[in-house]
Amino acid sequence: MRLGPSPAQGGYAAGGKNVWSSRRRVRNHPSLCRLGKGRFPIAIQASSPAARRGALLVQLDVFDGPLDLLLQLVVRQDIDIARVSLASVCEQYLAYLSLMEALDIEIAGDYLVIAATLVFIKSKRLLPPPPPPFTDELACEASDAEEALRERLNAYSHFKAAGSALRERFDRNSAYYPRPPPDAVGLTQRYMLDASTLAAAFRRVLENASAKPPVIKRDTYSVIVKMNWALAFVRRHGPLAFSELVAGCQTLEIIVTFVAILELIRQRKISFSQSHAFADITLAPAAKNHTEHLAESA
Amino acid sequence: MAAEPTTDKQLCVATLALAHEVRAALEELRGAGGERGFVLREVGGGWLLSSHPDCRDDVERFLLPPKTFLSQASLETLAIVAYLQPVTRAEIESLRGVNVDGVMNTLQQRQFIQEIGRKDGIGRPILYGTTDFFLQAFGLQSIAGLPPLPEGAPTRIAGSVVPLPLALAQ
Repeated sequence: MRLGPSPAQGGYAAGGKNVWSSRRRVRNHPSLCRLGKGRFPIAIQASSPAARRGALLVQLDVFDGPLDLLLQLVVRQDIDIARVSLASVCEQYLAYLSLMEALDIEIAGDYLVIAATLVFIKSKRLLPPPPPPFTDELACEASDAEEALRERLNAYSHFKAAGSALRERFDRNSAYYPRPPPDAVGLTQRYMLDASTLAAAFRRVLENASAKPPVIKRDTYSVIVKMNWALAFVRRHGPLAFSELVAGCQTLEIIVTFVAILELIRQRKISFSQSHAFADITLAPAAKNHTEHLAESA
Repeated sequence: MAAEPTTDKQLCVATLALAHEVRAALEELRGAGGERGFVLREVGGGWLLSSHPDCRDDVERFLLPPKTFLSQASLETLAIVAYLQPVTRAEIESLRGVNVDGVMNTLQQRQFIQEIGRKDGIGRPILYGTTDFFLQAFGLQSIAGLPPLPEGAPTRIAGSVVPLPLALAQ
Protein backbone atom coordinates (compact mmCIF):
# COMPACT_ATOMS: atom_id res chain seq x y z
CA MET A 1 0.00 0.00 0.00
CA ARG A 2 1.23 3.42 -0.81
CA LEU A 3 0.20 6.67 0.68
CA GLY A 4 -1.37 8.05 -2.45
CA PRO A 5 -1.62 11.62 -3.63
CA SER A 6 -3.07 13.91 -1.05
CA PRO A 7 -3.40 17.65 -0.75
CA ALA A 8 -1.19 17.44 2.30
CA GLN A 9 1.68 16.13 0.23
CA GLY A 10 1.48 19.16 -1.99
CA GLY A 11 1.63 21.23 1.14
CA TYR A 12 4.73 19.40 2.19
CA ALA A 13 6.49 20.04 -1.10
CA ALA A 14 5.61 23.69 -0.96
CA GLY A 15 6.62 24.03 2.65
CA GLY A 16 9.90 22.34 1.97
CA LYS A 17 10.55 21.50 5.61
CA ASN A 18 12.17 18.16 6.11
CA VAL A 19 12.97 16.73 9.46
CA TRP A 20 14.15 13.32 8.38
CA SER A 21 16.08 12.99 5.21
CA SER A 22 15.04 9.36 5.10
CA ARG A 23 11.40 10.34 5.02
CA ARG A 24 10.63 8.60 1.74
CA ARG A 25 12.11 5.38 2.93
CA VAL A 26 10.20 5.68 6.16
CA ARG A 27 7.04 6.21 4.21
CA ASN A 28 7.48 3.04 2.21
CA HIS A 29 8.57 1.11 5.24
CA PRO A 30 6.77 -2.16 6.06
CA SER A 31 5.44 -0.66 9.28
CA LEU A 32 3.30 1.66 7.21
CA CYS A 33 2.05 -1.26 5.16
CA ARG A 34 0.30 -2.50 8.26
CA LEU A 35 -1.76 0.64 8.32
CA GLY A 36 -5.07 -0.87 7.40
CA LYS A 37 -4.78 -3.99 9.48
CA GLY A 38 -5.28 -2.43 12.85
CA ARG A 39 -1.66 -2.79 13.86
CA PHE A 40 -1.19 0.90 13.61
CA PRO A 41 -3.41 3.51 15.17
CA ILE A 42 -4.39 4.90 11.81
CA ALA A 43 -7.21 3.95 9.51
CA ILE A 44 -7.40 4.86 5.88
CA GLN A 45 -10.76 5.15 4.21
CA ALA A 46 -10.52 4.61 0.50
CA SER A 47 -14.24 4.44 -0.26
CA SER A 48 -15.19 7.93 0.81
CA PRO A 49 -16.19 10.55 -1.78
CA ALA A 50 -12.96 12.36 -1.05
CA ALA A 51 -10.97 9.28 -2.08
CA ARG A 52 -12.79 9.19 -5.42
CA ARG A 53 -11.65 12.71 -6.08
CA GLY A 54 -8.11 11.45 -5.76
CA ALA A 55 -7.64 12.59 -2.20
CA LEU A 56 -6.83 10.16 0.53
CA LEU A 57 -8.74 10.43 3.74
CA VAL A 58 -6.75 9.40 6.75
CA GLN A 59 -8.24 9.09 10.17
CA LEU A 60 -5.84 9.58 13.00
CA ASP A 61 -6.38 8.69 16.60
CA VAL A 62 -5.64 11.79 18.55
CA PHE A 63 -2.75 11.35 20.89
CA ASP A 64 -2.20 13.39 23.90
CA GLY A 65 1.48 13.95 23.56
CA PRO A 66 4.43 11.71 22.77
CA LEU A 67 4.14 9.55 25.88
CA ASP A 68 0.53 8.78 25.03
CA LEU A 69 1.52 7.75 21.50
CA LEU A 70 4.37 5.59 22.76
CA LEU A 71 2.16 3.99 25.38
CA GLN A 72 -0.47 3.08 22.77
CA LEU A 73 2.19 1.52 20.57
CA VAL A 74 3.50 -0.52 23.49
CA VAL A 75 0.02 -1.55 24.61
CA ARG A 76 -0.74 -2.73 21.08
CA GLN A 77 2.10 -5.20 21.42
CA ASP A 78 0.41 -6.78 24.43
CA ILE A 79 3.65 -6.71 26.35
CA ASP A 80 4.26 -5.44 29.84
CA ILE A 81 5.90 -2.01 29.93
CA ALA A 82 8.58 -3.42 32.18
CA ARG A 83 9.66 -5.99 29.56
CA VAL A 84 8.94 -4.43 26.17
CA SER A 85 11.92 -3.45 24.09
CA LEU A 86 11.38 0.20 23.29
CA ALA A 87 13.54 -0.22 20.20
CA SER A 88 10.81 -2.44 18.76
CA VAL A 89 8.30 0.41 18.62
CA CYS A 90 10.81 2.89 17.25
CA GLU A 91 9.84 2.39 13.62
CA GLN A 92 6.14 2.67 14.29
CA TYR A 93 6.72 5.81 16.32
CA LEU A 94 8.75 7.40 13.52
CA ALA A 95 6.22 6.29 10.93
CA TYR A 96 3.49 7.97 12.89
CA LEU A 97 5.47 11.18 13.15
CA SER A 98 6.19 11.20 9.46
CA LEU A 99 2.52 10.68 8.76
CA MET A 100 1.70 13.58 11.06
CA GLU A 101 4.14 15.68 9.13
CA ALA A 102 2.75 14.58 5.79
CA LEU A 103 -0.64 15.74 7.01
CA ASP A 104 0.81 19.07 8.06
CA ILE A 105 0.06 18.46 11.69
CA GLU A 106 2.43 20.47 13.73
CA ILE A 107 4.83 18.20 15.56
CA ALA A 108 5.80 19.51 18.94
CA GLY A 109 9.40 19.37 20.05
CA ASP A 110 8.43 16.94 22.78
CA TYR A 111 7.68 14.34 20.10
CA LEU A 112 11.09 14.83 18.54
CA VAL A 113 12.95 14.43 21.84
CA ILE A 114 11.41 11.02 22.38
CA ALA A 115 11.95 10.11 18.72
CA ALA A 116 15.64 10.91 19.11
CA THR A 117 15.83 8.80 22.26
CA LEU A 118 14.16 5.87 20.53
CA VAL A 119 16.50 6.07 17.54
CA PHE A 120 19.46 6.22 19.90
CA ILE A 121 18.31 3.16 21.84
CA LYS A 122 17.62 1.26 18.66
CA SER A 123 20.93 2.15 17.04
CA LYS A 124 22.75 0.82 20.08
CA ARG A 125 20.70 -2.36 19.88
CA LEU A 126 21.52 -2.94 16.25
CA LEU A 127 25.25 -2.27 16.29
CA PRO A 128 27.47 -5.14 17.38
CA PRO A 129 29.70 -4.32 20.33
CA PRO A 130 33.10 -3.02 19.27
CA PRO A 131 35.94 -5.56 19.31
CA PRO A 132 38.40 -5.29 22.23
CA PRO A 133 40.34 -3.29 23.18
CA PHE A 134 37.71 -0.72 22.19
CA THR A 135 34.80 -0.08 24.48
CA ASP A 136 31.44 1.45 23.72
CA GLU A 137 31.13 4.30 26.14
CA LEU A 138 27.58 5.09 25.09
CA ALA A 139 26.28 1.55 25.63
CA CYS A 140 25.46 2.31 29.26
CA GLU A 141 23.88 5.57 28.30
CA ALA A 142 21.56 3.81 25.87
CA SER A 143 20.31 1.40 28.49
CA ASP A 144 19.98 4.26 30.95
CA ALA A 145 17.99 6.22 28.41
CA GLU A 146 15.74 3.23 27.80
CA GLU A 147 15.26 2.76 31.53
CA ALA A 148 14.45 6.44 32.01
CA LEU A 149 11.96 6.41 29.15
CA ARG A 150 10.42 3.20 30.46
CA GLU A 151 10.06 4.83 33.85
CA ARG A 152 8.35 7.88 32.36
CA LEU A 153 6.07 5.62 30.33
CA ASN A 154 5.21 3.66 33.44
CA ALA A 155 4.46 6.77 35.47
CA TYR A 156 2.37 8.17 32.65
CA SER A 157 0.39 4.94 32.28
CA HIS A 158 -0.60 5.10 35.94
CA PHE A 159 -2.01 8.58 35.61
CA LYS A 160 -3.71 7.76 32.35
CA ALA A 161 -5.48 4.93 34.15
CA ALA A 162 -6.22 7.19 37.12
CA GLY A 163 -7.67 9.72 34.69
CA SER A 164 -10.05 7.13 33.24
CA ALA A 165 -11.06 6.11 36.76
CA LEU A 166 -11.78 9.76 37.52
CA ARG A 167 -13.93 10.01 34.41
CA GLU A 168 -16.07 7.07 35.54
CA ARG A 169 -16.39 8.61 38.97
CA PHE A 170 -17.34 11.96 37.45
CA ASP A 171 -19.94 10.38 35.17
CA ARG A 172 -21.42 8.37 38.04
CA ASN A 173 -21.51 11.46 40.18
CA SER A 174 -23.13 13.54 37.42
CA ALA A 175 -26.34 11.61 38.05
CA TYR A 176 -26.77 13.50 41.33
CA TYR A 177 -28.06 17.02 41.03
CA PRO A 178 -27.66 19.21 44.08
CA ARG A 179 -29.40 22.52 44.30
CA PRO A 180 -27.53 24.84 41.92
CA PRO A 181 -25.62 27.64 43.63
CA PRO A 182 -27.51 30.93 43.69
CA ASP A 183 -26.59 33.03 40.70
CA ALA A 184 -25.64 36.64 40.65
CA VAL A 185 -29.28 37.79 40.33
CA GLY A 186 -29.68 37.70 44.10
CA LEU A 187 -26.77 40.06 44.47
CA THR A 188 -28.18 42.78 42.22
CA GLN A 189 -28.44 46.08 44.05
CA ARG A 190 -31.12 48.61 43.44
CA TYR A 191 -30.53 52.35 43.46
CA MET A 192 -32.93 55.24 43.46
CA LEU A 193 -31.88 57.24 40.44
CA ASP A 194 -33.48 59.65 38.05
CA ALA A 195 -32.41 61.42 34.91
CA SER A 196 -31.39 64.63 36.68
CA THR A 197 -28.83 62.81 38.88
CA LEU A 198 -27.40 61.23 35.76
CA ALA A 199 -27.21 64.60 34.00
CA ALA A 200 -25.52 66.15 37.04
CA ALA A 201 -22.96 63.33 37.13
CA PHE A 202 -22.26 63.78 33.42
CA ARG A 203 -21.80 67.51 33.89
CA ARG A 204 -19.30 66.87 36.68
CA VAL A 205 -17.35 64.51 34.47
CA LEU A 206 -17.26 67.12 31.70
CA GLU A 207 -16.09 69.81 34.08
CA ASN A 208 -13.34 67.62 35.43
CA ALA A 209 -12.25 66.67 31.94
CA SER A 210 -11.99 70.26 30.73
CA ALA A 211 -10.16 71.41 33.86
CA LYS A 212 -6.46 72.17 34.00
CA PRO A 213 -4.12 70.01 31.94
CA PRO A 214 -2.33 67.32 33.90
CA VAL A 215 1.03 68.33 35.33
CA ILE A 216 3.89 65.90 35.39
CA LYS A 217 6.03 66.49 38.43
CA ARG A 218 9.72 66.70 37.84
CA ASP A 219 11.75 63.99 39.54
CA THR A 220 13.27 65.28 42.74
CA TYR A 221 16.50 63.50 42.03
CA SER A 222 17.71 62.42 38.63
CA VAL A 223 20.11 59.55 38.06
CA ILE A 224 21.89 61.48 35.27
CA VAL A 225 22.42 64.56 37.44
CA LYS A 226 23.61 62.37 40.32
CA MET A 227 25.99 60.53 38.00
CA ASN A 228 27.64 63.74 36.84
CA TRP A 229 27.88 65.05 40.39
CA ALA A 230 29.20 61.77 41.86
CA LEU A 231 31.79 61.34 39.12
CA ALA A 232 33.09 64.89 39.60
CA PHE A 233 33.09 64.47 43.38
CA VAL A 234 34.94 61.16 43.32
CA ARG A 235 37.49 62.50 40.83
CA ARG A 236 38.15 65.57 42.93
CA HIS A 237 38.31 63.91 46.35
CA GLY A 238 39.94 60.61 45.40
CA PRO A 239 38.98 57.32 47.04
CA LEU A 240 36.15 57.77 49.48
CA ALA A 241 33.44 55.67 51.10
CA PHE A 242 29.93 55.52 49.73
CA SER A 243 28.68 56.52 53.18
CA GLU A 244 30.62 59.81 52.89
CA LEU A 245 29.11 60.43 49.49
CA VAL A 246 25.56 60.17 50.80
CA ALA A 247 26.16 61.64 54.26
CA GLY A 248 23.11 63.63 55.32
CA CYS A 249 20.95 62.49 52.38
CA GLN A 250 17.33 61.32 52.55
CA THR A 251 16.46 57.71 51.67
CA LEU A 252 15.31 58.55 48.15
CA GLU A 253 18.44 60.55 47.42
CA ILE A 254 20.62 57.67 48.73
CA ILE A 255 18.83 55.23 46.44
CA VAL A 256 19.22 57.49 43.40
CA THR A 257 22.89 58.04 44.22
CA PHE A 258 23.41 54.29 44.56
CA VAL A 259 21.79 53.65 41.16
CA ALA A 260 23.98 56.40 39.69
CA ILE A 261 27.09 54.76 41.18
CA LEU A 262 26.05 51.37 39.78
CA GLU A 263 25.70 52.93 36.34
CA LEU A 264 29.11 54.64 36.66
CA ILE A 265 30.69 51.31 37.66
CA ARG A 266 29.05 49.64 34.70
CA GLN A 267 30.45 52.31 32.43
CA ARG A 268 33.84 51.77 34.14
CA LYS A 269 34.19 55.39 35.08
CA ILE A 270 34.41 54.49 38.74
CA SER A 271 36.02 51.49 40.41
CA PHE A 272 34.90 50.10 43.73
CA SER A 273 36.03 47.76 46.46
CA GLN A 274 34.29 46.19 49.42
CA SER A 275 36.06 44.19 52.12
CA HIS A 276 33.10 41.90 52.86
CA ALA A 277 29.35 41.74 52.33
CA PHE A 278 27.46 44.76 53.74
CA ALA A 279 30.72 46.56 54.45
CA ASP A 280 31.04 50.15 53.31
CA ILE A 281 31.90 50.50 49.63
CA THR A 282 35.05 52.40 48.71
CA LEU A 283 34.81 54.34 45.47
CA ALA A 284 37.69 55.62 43.38
CA PRO A 285 37.99 57.09 39.91
CA ALA A 286 38.72 54.33 37.41
CA ALA A 287 42.25 54.09 36.03
CA LYS A 288 42.58 56.82 33.41
CA ASN A 289 44.00 54.75 30.59
CA HIS A 290 41.18 52.27 31.01
CA THR A 291 38.54 54.92 30.60
CA GLU A 292 40.22 56.28 27.54
CA HIS A 293 40.51 52.84 26.09
CA LEU A 294 36.77 52.41 26.52
CA ALA A 295 36.09 55.79 25.02
CA GLU A 296 38.13 54.88 21.97
CA SER A 297 36.42 51.57 21.50
CA ALA A 298 33.03 53.25 21.82
CA MET B 1 -31.58 24.02 51.65
CA ALA B 2 -27.91 24.71 51.04
CA ALA B 3 -26.27 24.55 47.62
CA GLU B 4 -22.94 23.54 49.10
CA PRO B 5 -21.99 20.73 51.46
CA THR B 6 -22.97 21.57 55.04
CA THR B 7 -20.77 20.36 57.86
CA ASP B 8 -21.93 18.60 61.03
CA LYS B 9 -20.81 21.63 62.98
CA GLN B 10 -22.90 24.06 60.94
CA LEU B 11 -25.92 21.81 61.43
CA CYS B 12 -25.32 21.63 65.18
CA VAL B 13 -25.20 25.41 65.39
CA ALA B 14 -28.33 25.80 63.27
CA THR B 15 -30.43 23.18 65.10
CA LEU B 16 -29.07 23.70 68.62
CA ALA B 17 -28.70 19.92 68.81
CA LEU B 18 -25.80 17.79 69.98
CA ALA B 19 -23.37 16.30 67.51
CA HIS B 20 -24.57 12.73 67.95
CA GLU B 21 -28.22 13.78 67.58
CA VAL B 22 -27.44 15.57 64.34
CA ARG B 23 -25.48 12.56 63.14
CA ALA B 24 -28.33 10.18 63.95
CA ALA B 25 -30.85 12.42 62.20
CA LEU B 26 -28.63 12.66 59.14
CA GLU B 27 -28.19 8.89 58.99
CA GLU B 28 -31.96 8.49 59.21
CA LEU B 29 -32.47 10.97 56.39
CA ARG B 30 -29.81 9.25 54.32
CA GLY B 31 -31.69 5.96 54.68
CA ALA B 32 -35.10 7.48 53.92
CA GLY B 33 -34.28 9.64 50.95
CA GLY B 34 -33.91 6.87 48.40
CA GLU B 35 -37.64 6.29 48.00
CA ARG B 36 -38.47 9.96 47.67
CA GLY B 37 -36.38 11.02 44.73
CA PHE B 38 -33.66 12.67 46.71
CA VAL B 39 -30.56 11.46 48.50
CA LEU B 40 -28.45 12.82 51.28
CA ARG B 41 -24.78 12.33 50.53
CA GLU B 42 -21.59 12.96 52.41
CA VAL B 43 -19.33 14.76 49.97
CA GLY B 44 -16.69 17.45 50.09
CA GLY B 45 -16.44 17.38 53.87
CA GLY B 46 -20.16 17.90 54.53
CA TRP B 47 -23.69 16.83 53.72
CA LEU B 48 -25.40 17.64 50.47
CA LEU B 49 -28.94 16.98 49.41
CA SER B 50 -29.17 15.94 45.76
CA SER B 51 -31.68 14.40 43.42
CA HIS B 52 -31.62 10.60 43.25
CA PRO B 53 -29.63 9.16 40.32
CA ASP B 54 -32.73 7.18 39.30
CA CYS B 55 -34.46 10.48 38.62
CA ARG B 56 -31.60 11.74 36.50
CA ASP B 57 -33.57 11.83 33.25
CA ASP B 58 -36.47 13.68 34.80
CA VAL B 59 -34.22 16.18 36.48
CA GLU B 60 -32.30 16.81 33.29
CA ARG B 61 -35.48 17.33 31.31
CA PHE B 62 -36.39 20.01 33.83
CA LEU B 63 -33.01 21.65 34.46
CA LEU B 64 -31.60 21.26 30.94
CA PRO B 65 -28.03 21.29 32.29
CA PRO B 66 -25.19 22.03 29.87
CA LYS B 67 -23.35 18.89 28.79
CA THR B 68 -20.17 18.66 30.79
CA PHE B 69 -17.23 17.20 28.98
CA LEU B 70 -13.81 16.48 30.36
CA SER B 71 -11.08 15.72 27.84
CA GLN B 72 -8.58 12.94 28.26
CA ALA B 73 -5.88 15.56 28.78
CA SER B 74 -7.90 17.32 31.49
CA LEU B 75 -8.55 14.09 33.34
CA GLU B 76 -4.94 12.93 33.27
CA THR B 77 -3.78 16.32 34.47
CA LEU B 78 -6.46 16.40 37.13
CA ALA B 79 -5.42 12.92 38.27
CA ILE B 80 -1.82 14.05 38.64
CA VAL B 81 -2.86 17.11 40.65
CA ALA B 82 -5.22 15.05 42.81
CA TYR B 83 -2.72 12.33 43.65
CA LEU B 84 0.48 14.35 43.88
CA GLN B 85 -0.72 17.66 45.29
CA PRO B 86 0.77 20.08 46.05
CA VAL B 87 2.30 19.86 42.60
CA THR B 88 4.07 22.27 40.25
CA ARG B 89 3.38 22.73 36.55
CA ALA B 90 6.86 21.45 35.72
CA GLU B 91 6.20 18.21 37.58
CA ILE B 92 2.93 17.69 35.72
CA GLU B 93 4.55 18.44 32.38
CA SER B 94 7.36 15.98 32.91
CA LEU B 95 4.87 13.29 33.84
CA ARG B 96 2.64 13.94 30.85
CA GLY B 97 5.41 14.78 28.39
CA VAL B 98 3.56 17.80 27.00
CA ASN B 99 2.88 21.41 27.83
CA VAL B 100 -0.10 21.67 30.18
CA ASP B 101 -0.71 25.43 30.29
CA GLY B 102 -4.01 25.29 28.42
CA VAL B 103 -5.34 22.34 30.36
CA MET B 104 -4.36 23.87 33.69
CA ASN B 105 -6.19 27.09 32.83
CA THR B 106 -9.31 25.14 31.90
CA LEU B 107 -9.18 23.14 35.12
CA GLN B 108 -8.77 26.33 37.11
CA GLN B 109 -11.67 27.98 35.29
CA ARG B 110 -13.86 25.00 36.07
CA GLN B 111 -12.74 25.30 39.67
CA PHE B 112 -11.39 21.78 39.95
CA ILE B 113 -7.94 23.00 40.89
CA GLN B 114 -6.52 26.09 42.56
CA GLU B 115 -3.23 27.65 43.46
CA ILE B 116 -2.40 26.66 47.00
CA GLY B 117 0.93 28.36 47.52
CA ARG B 118 4.43 28.55 46.22
CA LYS B 119 7.25 26.11 46.48
CA ASP B 120 10.41 27.10 48.28
CA GLY B 121 13.21 26.90 45.79
CA ILE B 122 14.45 28.44 42.59
CA GLY B 123 11.79 30.52 40.89
CA ARG B 124 9.28 29.80 43.66
CA PRO B 125 6.94 27.93 41.28
CA ILE B 126 3.21 27.93 41.97
CA LEU B 127 1.85 24.84 43.70
CA TYR B 128 -1.51 23.49 42.64
CA GLY B 129 -4.07 21.42 44.53
CA THR B 130 -7.67 20.33 44.13
CA THR B 131 -10.65 22.36 45.37
CA ASP B 132 -13.63 21.48 47.52
CA PHE B 133 -15.68 21.69 44.36
CA PHE B 134 -13.52 18.93 42.90
CA LEU B 135 -14.46 16.69 45.84
CA GLN B 136 -18.11 17.52 45.32
CA ALA B 137 -18.03 17.01 41.55
CA PHE B 138 -16.35 13.64 41.92
CA GLY B 139 -18.43 12.50 44.90
CA LEU B 140 -15.53 12.34 47.32
CA GLN B 141 -15.68 12.99 51.04
CA SER B 142 -12.00 13.95 51.11
CA ILE B 143 -8.83 13.49 49.06
CA ALA B 144 -8.09 10.39 51.13
CA GLY B 145 -11.16 8.87 49.47
CA LEU B 146 -9.42 8.61 46.10
CA PRO B 147 -8.79 5.00 45.14
CA PRO B 148 -5.13 4.20 45.82
CA LEU B 149 -2.85 3.92 42.80
CA PRO B 150 -1.32 0.51 42.11
CA GLU B 151 2.09 -0.28 43.45
CA GLY B 152 4.96 1.25 41.49
CA ALA B 153 3.01 4.38 40.64
CA PRO B 154 4.67 7.70 41.41
CA THR B 155 3.95 9.03 44.88
CA ARG B 156 5.13 12.03 46.79
CA ILE B 157 7.62 11.18 49.48
CA ALA B 158 9.16 13.97 51.56
CA GLY B 159 8.27 16.61 49.01
CA SER B 160 9.56 14.98 45.84
CA VAL B 161 7.83 12.73 43.36
CA VAL B 162 9.16 9.18 43.66
CA PRO B 163 10.24 7.48 41.48
CA LEU B 164 11.44 10.48 39.58
CA PRO B 165 10.77 9.86 35.91
CA LEU B 166 11.12 13.55 35.40
CA ALA B 167 12.57 15.08 32.32
CA LEU B 168 13.76 17.68 34.81
CA ALA B 169 16.33 15.22 36.04
CA GLN B 170 18.05 15.18 32.69
